[in-house]
Amino acid sequence: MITLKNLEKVYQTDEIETVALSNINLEIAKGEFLSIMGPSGCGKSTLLNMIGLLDKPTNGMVEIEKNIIDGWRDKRLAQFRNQKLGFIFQSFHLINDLQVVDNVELPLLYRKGISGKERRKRALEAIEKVGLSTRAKHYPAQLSGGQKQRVAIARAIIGQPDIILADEPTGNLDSKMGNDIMEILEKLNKQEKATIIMVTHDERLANKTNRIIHLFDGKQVN
Amino acid sequence: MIKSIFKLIWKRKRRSTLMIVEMFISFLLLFALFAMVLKNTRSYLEPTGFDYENVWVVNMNIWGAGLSDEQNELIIDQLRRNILSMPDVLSLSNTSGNLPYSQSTYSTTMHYNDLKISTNRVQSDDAFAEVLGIKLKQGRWYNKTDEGNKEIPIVINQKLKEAMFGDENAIGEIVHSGVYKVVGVVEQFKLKGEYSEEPNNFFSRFEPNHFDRIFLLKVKPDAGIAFEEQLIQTASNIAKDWTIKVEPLSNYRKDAFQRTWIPILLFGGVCIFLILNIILGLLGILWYNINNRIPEIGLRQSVGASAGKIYQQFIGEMLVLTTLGFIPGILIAVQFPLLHAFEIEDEIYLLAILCSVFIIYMLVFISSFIPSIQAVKIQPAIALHEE
Ligand SMILES: Nc1ncnc2c1ncn2[C@@H]1O[C@H](COP(=O)(O)OP(=O)(O)OP(=O)(O)O)[C@@H](O)[C@H]1O
Ligand SMILES: [Mg+2]
Repeated sequence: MITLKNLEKVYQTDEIETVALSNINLEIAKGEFLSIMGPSGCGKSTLLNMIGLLDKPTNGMVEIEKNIIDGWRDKRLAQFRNQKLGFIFQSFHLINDLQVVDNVELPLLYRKGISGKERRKRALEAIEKVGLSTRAKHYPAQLSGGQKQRVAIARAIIGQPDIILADEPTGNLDSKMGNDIMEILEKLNKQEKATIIMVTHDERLANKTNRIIHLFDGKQVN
Repeated sequence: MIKSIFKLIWKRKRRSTLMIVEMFISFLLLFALFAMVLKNTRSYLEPTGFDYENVWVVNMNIWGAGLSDEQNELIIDQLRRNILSMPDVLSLSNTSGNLPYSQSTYSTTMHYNDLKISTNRVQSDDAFAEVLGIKLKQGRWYNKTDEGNKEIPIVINQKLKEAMFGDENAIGEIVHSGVYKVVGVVEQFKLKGEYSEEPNNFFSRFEPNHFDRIFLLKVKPDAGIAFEEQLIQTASNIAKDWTIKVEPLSNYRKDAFQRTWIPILLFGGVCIFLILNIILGLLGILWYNINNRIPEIGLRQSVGASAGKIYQQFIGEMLVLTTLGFIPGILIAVQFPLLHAFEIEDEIYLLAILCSVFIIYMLVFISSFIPSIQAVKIQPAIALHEE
């Protein structure tokens, strides 16, 4: 379902050129729960961003569900992200001035043909799935880290994407909360058949996934 | 979309209020400025009803010298004959001190039947219309044939004619309890010049042996410095005891223009300065805002917002805030036409409202569009990183 061929990403800054990824070849099957591991700075986030179409590779090819993503215009990319992809970030990335339910609704705001009522209904369903029903009207500042991450998960799943990309979703949480989040992700993978790609430093969590990819210095190692 | 914008504005009450107040003030300032500029432009487009070009003013301080009336009359007659004999002078009219563009006004009340109409009066001799190129709409200017009549002949402007007679005939009518007789009507006459509103006006003929302090001369187009010197020479030779000032009427016109525009330019300068400050402040706030919200922009893009939607969000927020500032502003602005303040037409006020709204929307649009473009250019992955 996802194919990466000879993927390369070079960051060009004023003085130095950083090769964040080089020669990455990867096949990810539908419904797979994959984890990416490796030391800090080895290119894990970069890889996830390439798969999530949040940045352009320097070379190589990204193919998702038989679409070769190359030279797409902003509008088409946006639509694709909206319908196919859900993101969860280490630092949650909630909009502080919006209530939980409005944060969760966000992806549907950018989808055509969904009424405000329908949006609200689906947001409340998603919030229920992550067990936060009593907090729907709270603002992010009123939530704990684990609760924030659950809001982010609800936001990632509301649009029913085929692929969920999680960049250290438990990185800012203690192990108890981390386990809760992991349970939710496993459930999504098993029950909703979502393909999940997760970056993690936590061996214990990685071991619960179907497959582990190791990166070192921008390269895939086995 | 709009609902989510309102939610954000509400959550950011304090900052939003500040912007709304700024928009409110900008609107009122621009509105006042536009009302003034438009009113004057509108006035300027209305003809004055006379021709100021190639007209010179000889302003004589007759009564300061302490001569007798008989002596003064002799000097006036002699001056008149001598000036008229100058080759550059085409015609000459003796008139009261409230000449065109001057700051002096003679207001009086005209009685007709039960009407009491406040009006301006200009007194002159028969050559006045010729010197100033005044065109008659009906009837004629007063002349020698009016001498010997009991009533003083007058010419009125169309505005006064309508006020007194409506659609009825005015020519030949005796008004003001038998004092005046209307012999002619002019289409318009804006005594105070281009930038004034046309008042009710009438011109009355000097009674025999009456004279006043102004000579208006119509001269040939090529009359220059030499003419001016000759005129001054002639005048001071004949009227040794009077102080005499000689100036082209265009100087009076220039002064009148300055009296109109200098306050507007000053006010306009202050307005533009204030609004520039507000816009720069706005730009600063927006820049700061958008820079602060770059992760938010990245996030929105990651969940599927296109660049267009991001623009909509940021520009939409600003336009909503601006509109909220306009509401109280417009409520105040419409009081002016409703209360008929300052004798300005309703259309001018409405146009001033529209212009101010348009300009502010444009400025706000541009100043929120520019930083949004910058922000949207950043790849979402990078934008999300900037925390
Ligand atoms: N925007 C950027 N500009 C320049 N260099 C960058 C940029 N983003 C990442 N890099 C560099 O690319 C390399 C890979 O970064 P990346 O964020 O993918 O690492 P990571 O494996 O996710 O690390 P961590 O575990 O600390 O999150 C690093 O050397 C980093 O400095
Ligand atoms: Mg990372």
